[in-house]
Amino acid sequence: MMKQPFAACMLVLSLAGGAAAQSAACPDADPALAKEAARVLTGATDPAIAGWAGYLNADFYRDLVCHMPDDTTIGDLRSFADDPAGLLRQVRQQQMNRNQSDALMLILSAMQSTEE
Amino acid sequence: MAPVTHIRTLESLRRARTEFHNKLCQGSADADPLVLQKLRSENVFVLTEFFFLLRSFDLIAQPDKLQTYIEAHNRQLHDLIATPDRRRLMGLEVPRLNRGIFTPIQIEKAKANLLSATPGLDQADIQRLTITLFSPETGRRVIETMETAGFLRRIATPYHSKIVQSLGAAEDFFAEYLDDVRNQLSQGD
Repeated sequence: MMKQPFAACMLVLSLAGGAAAQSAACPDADPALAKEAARVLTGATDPAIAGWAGYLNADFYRDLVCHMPDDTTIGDLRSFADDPAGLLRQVRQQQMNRNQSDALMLILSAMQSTEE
Repeated sequence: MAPVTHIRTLESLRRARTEFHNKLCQGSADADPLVLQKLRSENVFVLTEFFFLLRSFDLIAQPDKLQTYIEAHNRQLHDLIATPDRRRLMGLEVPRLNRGIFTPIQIEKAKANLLSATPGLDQADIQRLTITLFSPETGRRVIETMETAGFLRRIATPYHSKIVQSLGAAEDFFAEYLDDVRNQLSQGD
């Protein structure tokens, strides 16, 4: 459960901004999953989430499920019915970028091992 | 070292990097501003570096070399899973690392894909090999961007997989980026 309704509201807004900037993204997103995500968020007991969720369009929900793991099912989304903020947190976590230099060094090292 | 030398070094790196992204955008098959915006992202740079390395080590042409690479990749992930301090330092979590590990059957399939009529890596294999770089979902989105821009081609197979082939231009731009960095830094000596 999110401690502050305001934080939930800001999370929704930040995702909405991302969705607007990437409206052409994710052609493979499953519309049924997007519909279920919309149901979870608009049904939130937290008015800060439910209120904003009602204003968001299909592109937002398509982008949201695009950020979920590939094997996400409708059942997985329904499990967030009691914790819609948890769904937003998971999406936010998937969105975070990290510096990739360390990982690129690992990849280079694995490839170099093919030359030995 | 004099601050001016640091600034010149920084300028060389930035100029080469800017030129790399300019070339990608100029070479894009789709001039949509959103596509161009994505082509300037860090993730596109990193995925291009990955494809450049695949080509440089000739891993797409030689199944046995690919197997050696994947086995080294698996060992790295197992090591990270077994070393919490190192894993935390990299900000990676065990469930994500587990998603990057190849099973023996997946290794055989990856090798077989190189010998098929449409040789290349399966998108799922690329997502596994880049698991320390980005989540599989992010990996898929970056591949889609590169496909939209015409630098990659995805071929659907009857086995519900997608073979990813690079047309090579992005790797060429990356090689030119490295040349630029080297040349500019040597001019400053």
